[in-house]
Amino acid sequence: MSDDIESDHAAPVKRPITTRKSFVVLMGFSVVSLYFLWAGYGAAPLNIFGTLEAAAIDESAPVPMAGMSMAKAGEGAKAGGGAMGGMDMSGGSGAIDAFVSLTDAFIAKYEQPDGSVRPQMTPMQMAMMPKDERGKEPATEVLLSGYQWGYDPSVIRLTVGKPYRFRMMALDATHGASISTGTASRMIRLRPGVENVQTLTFRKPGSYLIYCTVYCGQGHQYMQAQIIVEPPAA
Amino acid sequence: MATTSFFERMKMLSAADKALVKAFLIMAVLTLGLGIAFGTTTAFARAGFIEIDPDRAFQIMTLHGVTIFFYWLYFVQAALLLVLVACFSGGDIAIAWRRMAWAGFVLMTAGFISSEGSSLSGLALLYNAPPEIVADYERPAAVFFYLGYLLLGMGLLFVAVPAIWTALKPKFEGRIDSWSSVGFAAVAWAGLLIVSAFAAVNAFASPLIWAMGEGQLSTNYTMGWNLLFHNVHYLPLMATVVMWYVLIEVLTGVKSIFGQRFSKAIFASYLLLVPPTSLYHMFLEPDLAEPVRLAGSLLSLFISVPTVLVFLLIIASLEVHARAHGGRGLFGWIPMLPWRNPVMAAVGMAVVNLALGGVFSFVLIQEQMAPLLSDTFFVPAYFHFLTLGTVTLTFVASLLYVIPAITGRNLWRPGLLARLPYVMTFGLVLFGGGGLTAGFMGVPRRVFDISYDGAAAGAWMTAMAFVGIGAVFMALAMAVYIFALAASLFATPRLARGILAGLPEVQWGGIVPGYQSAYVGPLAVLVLVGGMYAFTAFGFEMIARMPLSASSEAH
Repeated sequence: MSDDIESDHAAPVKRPITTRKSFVVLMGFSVVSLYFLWAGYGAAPLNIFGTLEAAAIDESAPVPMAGMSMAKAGEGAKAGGGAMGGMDMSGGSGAIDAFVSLTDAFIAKYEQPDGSVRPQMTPMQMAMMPKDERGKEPATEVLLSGYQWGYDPSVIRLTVGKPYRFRMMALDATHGASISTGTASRMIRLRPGVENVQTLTFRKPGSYLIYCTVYCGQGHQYMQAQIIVEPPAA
Repeated sequence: MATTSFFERMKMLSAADKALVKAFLIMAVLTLGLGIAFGTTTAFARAGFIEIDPDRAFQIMTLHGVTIFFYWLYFVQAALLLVLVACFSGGDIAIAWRRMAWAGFVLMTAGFISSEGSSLSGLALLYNAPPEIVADYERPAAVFFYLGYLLLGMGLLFVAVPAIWTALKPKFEGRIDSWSSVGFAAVAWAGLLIVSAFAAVNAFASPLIWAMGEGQLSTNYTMGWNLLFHNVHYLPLMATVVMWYVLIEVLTGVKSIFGQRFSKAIFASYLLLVPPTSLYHMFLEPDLAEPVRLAGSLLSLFISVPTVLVFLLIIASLEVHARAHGGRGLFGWIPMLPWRNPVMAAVGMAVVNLALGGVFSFVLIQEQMAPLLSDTFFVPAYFHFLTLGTVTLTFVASLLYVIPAITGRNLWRPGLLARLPYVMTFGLVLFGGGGLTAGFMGVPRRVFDISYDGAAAGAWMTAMAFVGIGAVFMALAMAVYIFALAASLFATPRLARGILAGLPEVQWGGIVPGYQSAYVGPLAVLVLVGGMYAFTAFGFEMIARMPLSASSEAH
């Protein structure tokens, strides 16, 4: 298959369409058409360049935080994280310390007699929190830290159907805080000093496993926590 | 271009050149054997067939990744690259600057000893070796681990430079006007080896200095690692399709019907299209900006384009020649290929495995699919179709052809070897089927005990059992291959009159195929794309049906 110099220099010969270079190139790029399936599922914009431009402008705007203490942790996390997943143990130590304090306060506030944590908003807080533009219920904050080799808090009790704003951070090395639903999982990666914020809504009651999915040393496979999702109180 | 066959040209290498190539071949077979042994143990432990102490298990997993992904793939590439540049550059059939290439061999071997020794001493960092998990008492061992990778990178540089000079020399001497398409591809391949060498220095120099107790740890290890890792992924894939290009002509006499300029443009497209596609490795990073995620997804779509183009070029060239020689019906020409030749069987199954791996890899490159599948067993399940079923199988096929020419010895039991690709592919389908299912269910990628005190889904272990059963067949096929390669290096009888007898070939070249259509290549691509659509849609549907809805906050 090394050379066919005749094909480069000989007079053009009419070929069937399937053996023309243009057809081969077109077929070679056919995989790119998968983009339209992504767009069909709403996972990618049809106007890619317009969206990229808009998103880039958005990036320069400050990210609104929920409250004073949150803003502090958020700023710390921004300072600690590299531009694209870069590890920063020293620069992120301020963010880590702040996050540990917040998590400790969170656990102390919502700890139950059995050691689990049940975050909830009081009716007063609910009334004060603005609903989003679609009238959705505001998300309750949950803090979770991952470290070698465990999570704080280790048991979290939530209510089915309610949105929760999970603020998560690794304290020492990179960890996972993935959530198994039994049939599939939500993979979540935590970097030290970088806050990972996800809004999660559990649609079914049950027990969900939190587990580490990033190798973090000898105790990696024993890192686990539990989310217990309960029906709303009558 | 000389009309002498590739086999004859390899035989014309001097004894000193053959000794150099043989040294790389010996290390390639040794590292392949060790890597497969570590890999089989890992797979059996993950399937629950054997129990290993967790510390030891992660140590063996580290040895598997390091030995196969770095040392086997680079020792074998060094051997094949040197042979190709010497035989296809149009000058003397000789390796230029041989001493420098020997220095490369010494550096790579020293790197191998350093990396393996460090891991055998108990260090279990896995092949990506993040320094953040190195405990203080492990730093001395980590020094040797990172040093091993750096020596490997330096060794690659010392091999790639003589390879490029071997190809450049006849041009400077005015003996050729332009390179052959294979010569051109080999130079691009060597260029990418140099990129890998620098990427290795960029990733590992800082951790090495830090492990030695000097200086601060770099803040961007992850970025440096991902740049290197992306290269390590796709360089062997480019080398694979170059070897298909070479071996198909060897087996059938068929040359490209599209001309060498078109082939060169496609090989060059690897340089253009592969480097910008590395972002998809980072979709789970919490601080990756949304526009970067979006751009990363879009760019990732282009990653398969060069490989699909080479596939189409080869299949179309084969099909029109086969039809000119009497091939009838849509698929009737395919059985005319010399399938009882172990090289043909291996290349054929490598193509099938590439399609299987390709279908599933495209599910993962979408940024919204990453939270479903990244860091799960889905990743090793799909990439074994590529690393073992495509790249390793092709390199083994290449060695089955190259070793007899270099050693002057017969191939061990070619009839048996021609059956092994089917055994391996069967094993891969079980391994991959079980592993992909496990990945969709959320089985983590790097955990040996997946019971989580009974909190994990029971189906996880069932899916992983298929991984173990598949690994039995994969290991069996590879064990026979490794025995055959070692025997052909050292023990089989000498070739009678220097001819490699008993390997069926066809000779379809030397004629103008005329007005023949080529349907199978485009049809295969349509099936491939259809598979990508189907599994991507399946992934989106799974996300929609999860009892958990999630959205990441923009950064």
